[in-house]
Amino acid sequence: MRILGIESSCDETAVAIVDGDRQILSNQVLSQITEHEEYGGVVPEIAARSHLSHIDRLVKKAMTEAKIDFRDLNGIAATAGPGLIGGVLVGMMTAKGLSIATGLPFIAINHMEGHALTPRLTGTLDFPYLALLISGGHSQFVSITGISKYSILGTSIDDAVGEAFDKTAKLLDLDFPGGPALEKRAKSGDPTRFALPRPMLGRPNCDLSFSGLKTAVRNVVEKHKGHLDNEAISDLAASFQNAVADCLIDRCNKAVEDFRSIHPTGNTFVIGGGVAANEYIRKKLKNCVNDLGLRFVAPPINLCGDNGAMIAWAGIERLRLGLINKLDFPARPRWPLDAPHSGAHS
Amino acid sequence: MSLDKSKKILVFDTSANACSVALWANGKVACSCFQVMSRGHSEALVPMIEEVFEKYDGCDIDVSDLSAIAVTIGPGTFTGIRIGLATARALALPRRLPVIGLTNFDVVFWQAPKVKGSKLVVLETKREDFYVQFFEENNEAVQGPLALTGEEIQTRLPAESITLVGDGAERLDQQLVESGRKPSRLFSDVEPVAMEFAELASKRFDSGVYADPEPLYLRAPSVTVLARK
Repeated sequence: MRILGIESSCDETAVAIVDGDRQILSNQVLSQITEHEEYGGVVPEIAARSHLSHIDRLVKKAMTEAKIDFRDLNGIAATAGPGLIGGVLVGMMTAKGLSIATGLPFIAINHMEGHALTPRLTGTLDFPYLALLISGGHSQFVSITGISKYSILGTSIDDAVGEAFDKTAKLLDLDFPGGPALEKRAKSGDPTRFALPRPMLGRPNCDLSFSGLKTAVRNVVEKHKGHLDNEAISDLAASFQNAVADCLIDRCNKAVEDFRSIHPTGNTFVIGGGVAANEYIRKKLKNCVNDLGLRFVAPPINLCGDNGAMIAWAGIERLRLGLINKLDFPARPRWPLDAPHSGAHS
Repeated sequence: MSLDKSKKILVFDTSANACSVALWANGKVACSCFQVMSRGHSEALVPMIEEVFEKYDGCDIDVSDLSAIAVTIGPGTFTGIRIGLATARALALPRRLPVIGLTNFDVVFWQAPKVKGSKLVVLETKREDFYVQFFEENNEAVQGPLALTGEEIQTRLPAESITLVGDGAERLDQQLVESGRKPSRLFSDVEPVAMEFAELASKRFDSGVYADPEPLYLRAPSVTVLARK
């Protein structure tokens, strides 16, 4: 079985071809970073225009690299949400167009489902498992017991982790995209220099919160009237990253407890999403999860950020169960992972 | 695949206030679909294409029977333009079919009643300005396309009377009359409809003069920044 997967929900235009034996035959990811750089964040209309400019060329490139013809495919999958609607529509309409041009089934994928199922693409992993999905748009703990069987144990009540990273990086006047720039600066910083809050610590549920942490960084910057020297910026970056890790670890403890109470046999914890590429956070989470007696699974760095391979893989998982979609499927800018997959038939 | 090998062009529009699909075959519109909608084009378009394929002469045809695909490229709603172009390019991709892009000016000019004198195609921007293009009597587009305010248009108009065509015609005429110009002849209810401009697509295909179409936004993106994912 081979599926072509399309992802265009934020600022990466991505097309991949994956087969049922977990082989990634092509994985084209075109970042729009340089187009958004001067604005210090993603501009939705620029993103949508850029997706349209590149997506069909990436489809051709993926087909060429995979050395296959459309007749060798079994389905076309695309992100149908959540995300920036303009971009999602470009990818989804490309998939629908390819679907009627080839007669192949169309499979609508929830972007977060792509992240959640990635560890089943990169290795052997049975259900149930617990996932922590952390990106610029989302932060959530998800209990996964099967395809389309997702239950959200906790979520950020304000900013997503990646959003907090990017906003904090902006406060520190670091390059765009802020997350990776902040991680780099934090490497040479002292994580204990600035006392920053750890929101939600010890709360009885699995929810997360990061906006207070970002505000605390702003207060430090304002107290120094914006005149932080290089060393202080690195120390503040490190202190922020450390605080995020502490919050995640505390929340992980709670999430694992909740997950175990529902699934006593569940023994795996996976992370996914762009922030899962942060090595410091990965390491801290791995230690925490291992201490709790669970197996820790993190996808390779190139499959943490947005990509088409995860969408193609989710397509394979769904197609195996006959879960294909009608061609009137609506794009859904807000689409909780545990909401019904409307429009699915069979 | 159908046995009928005549030229067939799939034509559609999602660029404005409706969604329409037509199949041009055997020198005429063989079948078509039309729905008024301000949103929901991404849900309606592909099922409407399937409906047109099914309706064709009772014999089911598919994309492999097509000679080309034609689509409106704007100006119109940014999202609508992208829905149309993304779908057209994807439909064309596996069989490398030609894609013919038609501007909304060309389409509206084509659909308007044929009257003497020069015409100004005026498309609504839903902002202060208008999208405009001037056409002379010999059907040549002579200026534009441009995004201009009523005042800017006023200074560029010839003294003699001109016919205003398109969904922005009425609003522009009001502004022109307020600043002293005599009322113009108006065809303000002309909006792109695939079955009405399918013949233009066919002529463009026959002429062989078309390139891979690009969207015609006529407006720079408005900048609202979001956090990066």
